[in-house]
Parts: sequence; structure tokens; C-alpha cells
Amino acid sequence: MLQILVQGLVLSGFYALIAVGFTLIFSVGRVLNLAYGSFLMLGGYIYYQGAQVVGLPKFPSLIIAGIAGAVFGMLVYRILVKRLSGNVVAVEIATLILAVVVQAAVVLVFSPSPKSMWPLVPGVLRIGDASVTYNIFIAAVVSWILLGGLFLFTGMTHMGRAIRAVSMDSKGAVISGIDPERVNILTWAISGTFGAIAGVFLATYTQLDPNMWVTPLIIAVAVVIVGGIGSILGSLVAAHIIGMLETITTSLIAAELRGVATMLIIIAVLLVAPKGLFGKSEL
Amino acid sequence: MSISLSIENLEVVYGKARSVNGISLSVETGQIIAIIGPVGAGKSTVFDAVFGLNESTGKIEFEGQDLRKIPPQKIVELGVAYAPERGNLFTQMNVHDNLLTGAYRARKDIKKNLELVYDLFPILKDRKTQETATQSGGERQMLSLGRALMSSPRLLLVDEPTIGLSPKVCLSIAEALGKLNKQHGLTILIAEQNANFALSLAEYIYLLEIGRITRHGTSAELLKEDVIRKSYFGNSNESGDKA
Ligand SMILES: Nc1ncnc2c1ncn2[C@@H]1O[C@H](COP(=O)(O)OP(=O)(O)OP(=O)(O)O)[C@@H](O)[C@H]1O
Ligand SMILES: [Mg+2]
Repeated sequence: MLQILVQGLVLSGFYALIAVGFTLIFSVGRVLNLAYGSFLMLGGYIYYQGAQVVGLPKFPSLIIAGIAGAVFGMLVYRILVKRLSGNVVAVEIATLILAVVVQAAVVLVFSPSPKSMWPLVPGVLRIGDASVTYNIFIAAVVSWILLGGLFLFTGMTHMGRAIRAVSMDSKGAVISGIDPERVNILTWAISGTFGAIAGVFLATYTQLDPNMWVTPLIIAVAVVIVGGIGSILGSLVAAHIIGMLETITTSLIAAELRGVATMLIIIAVLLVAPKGLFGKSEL
Repeated sequence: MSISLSIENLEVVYGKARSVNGISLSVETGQIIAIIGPVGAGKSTVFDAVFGLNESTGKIEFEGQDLRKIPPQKIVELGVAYAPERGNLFTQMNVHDNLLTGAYRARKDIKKNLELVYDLFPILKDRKTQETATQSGGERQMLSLGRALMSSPRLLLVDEPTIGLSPKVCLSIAEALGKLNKQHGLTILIAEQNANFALSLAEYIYLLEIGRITRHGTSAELLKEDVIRKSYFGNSNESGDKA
């Protein structure tokens, strides 16, 4: 019981990071970034290259992955999304194609075979009867630090409030002097960073391979649908619901059902509450 | 007297419809001016054009500066603020954060302007932490004016400040605008369907109908005209009562 609780909580924290990076883009730009899984994959591969090929220390490699994610996010926005602005469907198709292209590029550069990653910190943390690996525990802690930082940033700074303002009323934001372009670039950079760092954690939790963009995209979409699209608070709550349910299914029923439970939740929520728990707009 | 806002030959075309059809008007520094006109006359379209929020042709100058060369988000920095129709408030933020967002380009004046706004509308001060979505129509209108004031403007554009408000709230909005003009020297341009309200506040009135200015003059002059009495006073009372 305690084991499920601890494992579920830790996994949820990490899912929350994945989901918030994704929902941030939607709440500001009203588009779904289907290349989001590629942010995670890129983060994973860059970290791998730094820490396990070049031999840099782990922490700087994590930072480099985060910076690369920010740069990639900004490029995707500038080169692709901005030019298609106004056409939501075009953005979704284009970002999905980009995800497939990135997968092909990763196969070419790094080979199609999976790579196993060293844990960030080896060993197991015991909490009473329960135990979690230090690796996933640290992933959860770093996730919460990043999410807390985002919360403080959007709550306490002018630029952070500007992000919230654009997401709530873009005309109100512009007449208040906020440049929507700057806000967009910034949210894509934050999303890229969150995605890339989440990707390092995901790769150390599972493994690194050129298909690894699919699962996090499904997790992100699931969390966002359950939480209500565009709602950051909703994402945090939903990440915990999904993280817990997943832990319960995998530990009590069968590990193979990991993804299935998540999909069932998506479908159930779409049927029962299409706006999600906290959402304002439908897909 | 120096000219605050000058509009010449402004045209705005939405698709095939010409919403504003070559209008000219000017606002002198220190004045309160009103544009009155019925539903769909083009009042909001004129204000949006000043902020570059639609495609327009013609001349728009603020204190001699060509506003068309300036991107929308930089206009507030020059000293023009806009309280749009229905506010465009940030509804999931609280009152205080809405005001702070209004100060995005006037951060040095935050303390002074907060004092001004909370002094003008004490109810906002009492409800600082209330989420805007749950506020009453009157409170939102006050917040919309307050957010605009947070940018330290010299010219304020106010679009239908009385829409859907009770006479009592209309009166306190009128008082606030009058006070801002007299005590703080703020130049104000109001768009209204409510002719009563406009005539009581503004010294000069433009009547806008189907995209054209059909009549203009001082409030005293227009008050004498039966046409305006008949077509706009009845109209204004109805719109004033709607929720
Ligand atoms: N974005 C738009 N696209 C197409 N037509 C528009 C748009 N905005 C306004 N219009 C049209 O332009 C005309 C003028 O509209 P506007 O909102 O300026 O009127 P208004 O005088 O402010 O009316 P109200 O008192 O009802 O607010 C209307 O016929 C309106 O339907
Ligand atoms: Mg209007």
C-alpha cells in the first residue's frame, strides 16, 4: 500500500512536469504541439551524448539538455508554428510531421537500437516499508522544483504575469503593452526546457530509443484532457490521478497494462466531461 | 490648446463591409469628448483602429506622433490607454494582478497609480484578491478603467463604460471620469450609446451613424436638437437597463 502511494506520488510529480510543458503552449497559443514528445526525446539523446559519450558530469549534461530544449522550442515556434499561426489544424499536422522527421533523424544519427541510460544517482531510497529508486525520486524532486519555479515566475514577475495575461485575453494583453510575440517565444522556450529535462528522466526511467516520443505525448495529452485543456492547475491534479492509477494498474494487475489504463481514462473523460476537470474550452 | 488625438479620413473595411467610412475628429488636451451612436455604428472599430488592432487607412496622430508606425503593444507606452467594451479583463486573475498587468509598461509608477485607482474605486481595494470572473458588472467596469489608469496615461479611450450598469453605478463611473479629468488633467474620449451619460460628461460630441459622423457640436448645442433627443435618449435608457 505505502509502496503504491510512494511510487505513485513520485511518478505523478514527473508526469506533472511532462504535462505542464505541454499545456503551457496550449494555454498561451491555443495550439497542441504534437512535436512535444520530440522535445523529450531530444533532451534524452543530448544528455546521453554529454554524459555517456563525451563523458561530461551528469548535472552539467542535464543543464545542456535543458538549454538545447529551449533553443529547439524557440526554433519550432519561429520556423513552423508562427508561420502557420491562425491555422490550428495546420499547426497540429506540421508538428506531428516534425515529430516523425525528428525520429528519422535520430535513427540516422544515433542508430535505431535502444540505449540504456545510467541512473542520475544510483541506489534505492527507503521510506518505511516502501522503496523507490533514487533516480525517479530525484526526477520527481527536480520536477517539483521546476514547477514551483514556474508558479513563482508567473505569479510574481511582470513577464510571468504577461504569460498569464496573454493566455486569458490577448486583446487585453496587447493594450496593456504586452508583446504577444515575446510571450510566445518565452513559453516555447520554457516548454522546450521542461520537455527536454523530463526526457532525460524518462530515458533514465525506461530507456532511450527513437520511438520514445510517443508515450510522453500520450501521457501529456491524457493529463491535459483529464485536467482540462489549457489549465495548469488541472494538469497538476490530473497528472496525479493518472500517475496513481497507472501505478495501481501496473503493480496490482499487470505491468503490460500501463498505457491501457491511461487510454481508458482519456476516453472516459472525453465522454463524461469533454472540458476536463478544470477546463474552459473543448478540443 | 494642444491637440491630443487627431483622426483624419479614417476608413476601416472588414471583409466587404465598410464599418468606418472616412471620419475625422480631434481631441484637445484636457477635454472630455464623446462619440455617440447606435449599435453597430463603428465606435469600437474607431478605438481599435487607434491601437492598430484592425486594418485601417487615414491619419491617426497622438500629440503629433503618427500612431500607425507604432506596433499595438507600444502605444500604451506613449500615454494612450484603452478601456475596451466589456473590459477584456484577465478573468482568472485577481483584481490586484489585473492592475499590475496594466502597469506592464509603467512599472516605476505602480505605487502612485495603485493609490490613485484604489482611492477612486475603494471597492476594488476591498476586493483585491477576488478573482475577476466572479465580480459584478460594475466592479469589472471599474477594474477596466483602473487597469487602463495603471499605465499613467495622458489620453484615455473608454468604450461604453455604462453598458448594462445600474444608474447608481453609472453615476459613480461618471464621477470618477470627471475627477480624473479635472483633478488629474486626463484627456478622455468616450464611446457611448447612452447619450444622457455622454452629454452629461463631455463638452463636445460627435454623432456616429453607420460609419459616418453625421453631426457634431458642443453638448449644449446638441441638447437643443430634437433629433438627438428622440433617437438616442429612448435608446440609451433601454441599453442602460440590460444586464
Ligand atoms: N472583426 C469584425 N469583422 C467583421 N465585421 C466587424 C468586425 N468588428 C466589427 N464589425 C462590424 O463593423 C460594424 C461596426 O462595429 P462596432 O463594433 O465598431 O460598432 P459599435 O458602434 O461599437 O457598436 P456597439 O455600440 O454595439 O458596440 C458592425 O456592423 C460590425 O458588425
Ligand atoms: Mg462597440
